[in-house]
Formats: sequence, structure tokens, C-alpha cells
Amino acid sequence: MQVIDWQVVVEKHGPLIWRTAYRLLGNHEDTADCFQETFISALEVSRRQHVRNFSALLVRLATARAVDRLRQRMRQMHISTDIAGSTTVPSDDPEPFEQIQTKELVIRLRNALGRLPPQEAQVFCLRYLNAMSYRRIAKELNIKTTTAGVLLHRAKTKLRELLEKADVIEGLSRAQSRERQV
Amino acid sequence: MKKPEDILSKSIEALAKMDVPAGPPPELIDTTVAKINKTSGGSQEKIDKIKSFDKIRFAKRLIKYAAAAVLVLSSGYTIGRLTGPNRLDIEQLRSALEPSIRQNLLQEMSQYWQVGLTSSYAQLKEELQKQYRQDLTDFAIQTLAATNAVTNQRLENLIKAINAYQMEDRRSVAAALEQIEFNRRQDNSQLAAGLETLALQTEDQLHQTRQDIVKLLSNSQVDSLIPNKVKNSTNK
Repeated sequence: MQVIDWQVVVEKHGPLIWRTAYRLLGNHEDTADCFQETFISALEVSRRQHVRNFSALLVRLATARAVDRLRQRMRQMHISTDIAGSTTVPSDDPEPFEQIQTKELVIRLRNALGRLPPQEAQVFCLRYLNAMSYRRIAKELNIKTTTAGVLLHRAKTKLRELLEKADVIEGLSRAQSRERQV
Repeated sequence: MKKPEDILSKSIEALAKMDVPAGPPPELIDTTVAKINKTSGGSQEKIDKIKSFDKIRFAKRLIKYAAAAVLVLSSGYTIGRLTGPNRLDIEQLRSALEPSIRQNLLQEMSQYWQVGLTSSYAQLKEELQKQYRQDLTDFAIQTLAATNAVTNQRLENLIKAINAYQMEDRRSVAAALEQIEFNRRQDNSQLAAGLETLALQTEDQLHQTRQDIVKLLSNSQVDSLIPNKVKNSTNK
């Protein structure tokens, strides 16, 4: 049986797991829940098999839990966004506008990730947010490297479509709100 | 025109660059560890116990393996010493081995020399052939050059002789022409002198003839002027 000092594991890998989850979920409460669930899942995994790379396992589990939460959010339509429903205020200062734009992009990407199949979302997050190689992703998810590539391609295609659609809808809603203001 | 940036790339970049808290709050770590301990059904003490137990077990195993290794090594050494051959006399060994070594050495040396000589012979033959071909080629070149020189010399001599004969021929022709010209001039002068003499003589003759004709005419005119009576009388 593998003897694991969980105090050490949590302290060592906690910051990475926290950042991974927070980046996807964007708030403290969900991230804290995801954090705990991740380590509990890791405990269960360690009971079944010998864990060699805790970092990769925890990142994979954290991503999976975060994607689950995103999907849950999408289902319940409780999108907790800081700027949801807010109207954009035209300003001459480019920085606030850029910040708002960045926030919008992040929120849209999170929503789009919540709409993807879980495995595709996981592969995407592991590749682009955690910079894992195809081989590492395939090993962690117990799939072939080529399958990882295919899943990533599909995820990108779907995300692009969803983001473009969201962009069009956003543009239309802005135009409507301007008309109302006028 | 600059291509607009992909919305997906922009979104990924925005998500990757967003501000994220560096780590979880300490309470969360404590809570998580407590939950894990609770779920695993033990506490940190249990883990420590397991750890110390594992350490003792590991040390025991290590001692066992070390003892086994020492045993194996010592038995191997003893068996080796017992089953090994006795020390041989060096002189005896030398006398036993020397003839066969010498024989082998001689055989190898003869083979070596044979191979060396064969290869040297082949090499020498090849070099000689090369040299022979080279000499032949040089000789042919030299002979050809000498022949060419002699031929050229003879041709030059021939051309010179032809030129000399032609020159001589021209000179004789020129002398003959001069002679012919001289003769022609001489004939011309002789002819002119003869014609002049003839003309002078003809002129003299004509002058004489004229005088005779005048005389004759003068005589015939006097006879016709005398009267017939006189004539008659004279005649009587």
C-alpha cells in the first residue's frame, strides 16, 4: 500500500490546484469546493492504484471537477459573472474597456467550456491552461495520443463556433440597448 | 491588411492571463487535510505509525539482504579456493608452452611475410607497368616531336630551293627580254638609217631626172622656133 502524507501533498500541490480551479470557475466558493473534491478524489485514486505523478493527477482531477461545475452551472443557468446584465458604458479611456472586454471573453470561454462534452473540455483545459503535452494528457486520461489530438481538435472547433455565436448575440443585444437609450 | 485575431485564441489568452490568487487560504488546506483524514478513516498519527513501522520493516529487510550477500560472497570465495588449480612450476610451464608458441609464431610470421610479399609483388608489378607505359608514351612523344622537326626542316629547304630556282628562271627570262629589246632597237635604228639613205638617193635621182627633163625640154623648144626656109636651106 502506498503511504501518502496528505498534509505534505496538499501543501505542495495546493497552490497549483487552486489556480487551476480558480481560472476555470472564477469565484472563491466554487473553487474551494472543487479544491476539496479534487483531493478527496485523489485519495480514492491512490487507494486503487500507485500514484507516481501527483501533480498531473491532481491537475487532471481539478480540471475534471471544474468542468463538471461549469456544466452544472450551464444546466442551472446560474451564471455567476461580475458583469452579467451590466451595460457597457462608453469611455474614452481604453484600459477599462479592454478589461471589460477581457472579462467578457473569459466568461464566454467558461460558458462554452461548460457546453462541451466533459472529456473534450478536459483535454482542452489540460492542453491550453496547464500546458500539458499530448502524451501526458493521453496518459492521464488513459486514452491514445491520437485520440487526445482528435478530442482537442473537436473541442477547439466547437468552442470557436460557440464563441462566435456568443459574439454575434452580444453585438445584437448591445445594438438593441443603444437603440433603447436613444 | 492584418488578419483579425481568432476569437478562441484571444479568449484563451485572456483566460491564461487573468489574475488568479496565488494559493488557497490556510484554513482551506487544514479543512481539506482534515476531510482527507476523516475519509481515509485515520489520522496523521496513524500515517506516522505506518511510516515508522515501514521504516523498521525496511531496516530488517536490509539486514537480511546484507547477511545473505555476505554469505554468498564468502561461500563463493571458499569454493573458488578449493576447486582452483594448484600453482604450476614456471620453468615447466615455459618448456611446455615454448615449442608450440614458437611454432605458431613462425607459422604466423611466414604467413605474414607471404601475404606481404604477394601484396608487394602485385604492387611492384603494377608500378612497373605504370612506369613502362609512361616511358613508352614519353618516347612516342619525343619521336614524334623530332620527326616533326626534321620534316619541317626539309620542307623549309625544299621551299628555299624552289624559290631559288624560280628566281634564277625569272632572271634568265628578264635577260632574254632585255636582249630581244636591244635587238629590236638595233634593227629599228638600222632600218631607219637605210630608209634615210634610200630617201636621200631617191631625192638625188629625182633631182637628176628633173634636170634631164628640163634639158630635154629646152632642146626640143629651140628646134621648133627655126623657120622652114632656113631649115630647107640648111637641108640643101
